[in-house]
Amino acid sequence: MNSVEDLCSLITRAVTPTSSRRAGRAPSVPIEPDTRLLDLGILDSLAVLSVVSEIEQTLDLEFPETEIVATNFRTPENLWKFVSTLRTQVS
Amino acid sequence: MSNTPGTGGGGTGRLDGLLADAARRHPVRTAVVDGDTLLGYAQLDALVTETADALRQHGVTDGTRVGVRLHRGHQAIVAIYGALRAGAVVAPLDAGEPPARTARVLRSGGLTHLLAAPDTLTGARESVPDGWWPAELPHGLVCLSPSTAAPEQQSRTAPASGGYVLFTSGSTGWPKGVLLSHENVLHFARWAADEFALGPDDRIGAQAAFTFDLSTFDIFSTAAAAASVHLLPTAVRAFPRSVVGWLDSERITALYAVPTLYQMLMHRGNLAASPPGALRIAAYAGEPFPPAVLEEYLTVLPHTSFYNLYGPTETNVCTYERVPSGWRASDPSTIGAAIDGVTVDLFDEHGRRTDSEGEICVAGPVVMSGYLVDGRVHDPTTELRFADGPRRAYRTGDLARRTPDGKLRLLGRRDLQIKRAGHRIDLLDIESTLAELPGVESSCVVARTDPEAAAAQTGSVDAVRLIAHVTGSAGLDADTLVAALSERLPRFMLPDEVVVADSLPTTRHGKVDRKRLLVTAHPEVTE
Repeated sequence: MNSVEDLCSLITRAVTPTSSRRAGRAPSVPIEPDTRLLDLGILDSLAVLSVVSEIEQTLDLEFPETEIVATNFRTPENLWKFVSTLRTQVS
Repeated sequence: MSNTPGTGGGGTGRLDGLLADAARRHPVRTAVVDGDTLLGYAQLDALVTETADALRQHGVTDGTRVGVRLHRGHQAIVAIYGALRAGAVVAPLDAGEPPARTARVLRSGGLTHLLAAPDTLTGARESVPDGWWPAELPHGLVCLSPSTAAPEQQSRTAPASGGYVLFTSGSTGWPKGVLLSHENVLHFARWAADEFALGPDDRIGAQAAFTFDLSTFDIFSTAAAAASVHLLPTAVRAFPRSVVGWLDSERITALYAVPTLYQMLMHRGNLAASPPGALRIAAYAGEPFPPAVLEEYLTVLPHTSFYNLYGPTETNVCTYERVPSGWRASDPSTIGAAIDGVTVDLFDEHGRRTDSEGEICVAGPVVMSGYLVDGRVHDPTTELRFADGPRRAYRTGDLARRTPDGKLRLLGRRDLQIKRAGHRIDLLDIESTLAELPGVESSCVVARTDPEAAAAQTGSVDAVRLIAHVTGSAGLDADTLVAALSERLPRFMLPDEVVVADSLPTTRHGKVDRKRLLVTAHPEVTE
């Protein structure tokens, strides 16, 4: 995952319903870097957890519990900023 | 009986009267806090009157059924009170549900007006029949209604003074509207304000959807006490830590929520590390509170009163128990006894009162007027002989046993209704929706309580997993079915898993064997 666009596809995957995952609702709008994920109701508490676990698996890092807060999830851009900081800290 | 400001006098007998009373007594007190928006009581009351006048001009009259499809916020509160003041029967709807579901709600409830706002207008327009047109109201509200006035559409059976409708999951695949009178909702709202001794200094934390009966406390008990209601921002709801911080920073004094939320706050929100210091009332309803978590709460918040409120939407709250201080997880938990003015007793299958085990039946001012089905009012209540004589009663479908000290202990359900995170779901509702999908022949939805699997799969505290077993034409595909269901059902009703099978197991009598499906280990699902 090298760009905020990659993160957008990851979020889309995480919130799109499949039979093997807890069913969510396919987002009615395409997820862009500035999509307001929370205001539009794209991410609820379960979807947030799916996104967190997808990020953890894809980047092989641990997303700190204390950072699962609204400010980091408002838009893909916000999340990308935080994830980038996290990666620098880890490496 | 009442010594709480705003709950005794007035006596208007109307929900919007609570607001008018509060505005008269406490005009400058804060009524609603929604993010950066603050509304005082006089200000809110004026907005509501203006909205009511505009609705009257757009054909809303006594008994008109009006849906409010707005996001949770101060605008929705203005719309709800405004429609009530215009004399309407008001149905709060979920702005996030698929328009196809709202369309069913409109037809099932016989709604003739739909209120929306610019940010929910697209979904609202997709929900209404052809020939409905938008009209702009004050405060950014939009009213959709049939272009031609059709007075014959107004059902004569609707209460002339208006009322409230809460839609729940119904067994036929159609949302079932629970029609409540002003008195039904008022009785609970005033009882709760009295019992919790709410006053103008209280700050009520509102997190429930307005479609959920818990929100009647947030909206109406708050007004009964001239307290302030603080709306938990939608963006914060998904983050337990942020919710815990919000409870503290808003100095919330009373909260009414489902145990699932309390559990999330304790375990994922780290509530024990920063307990909300101002919280004096913590009420819960909708599902049993996991005993170990409740004990944790009593330890962490020793000065907070915990209340278990019980009742289906049809009766709002009919029994309650204040959790005794020093209660332990090993102690039995009950749903307590009837609230003031309400009669609750147990009956056997022949409709006779019983002292041992039986179905919880309710009589009194909280019992709904009836269901809205195909636009008409259908009254499912029956006359039952209580200790004080025959009464109009609602049979809840919940089975209970009476404890030696006269309290009620829940045993289970008589039918296929389940609760998930406080949401009531009729499993037949999901099956009916599946049956309408192309290629589906039969289906059976089972609810499995499997805490470990649920936690592992989703990280959720939700212990109930819904599994849909489906048969049908060759090529029927689980992913397609899930996608189709997500277009038709609210998120809380979607199955966690859809399994396509060649056939469903049957009992000796040829009925689908639900019990066997429930215990069958689910097949491997490939990612």
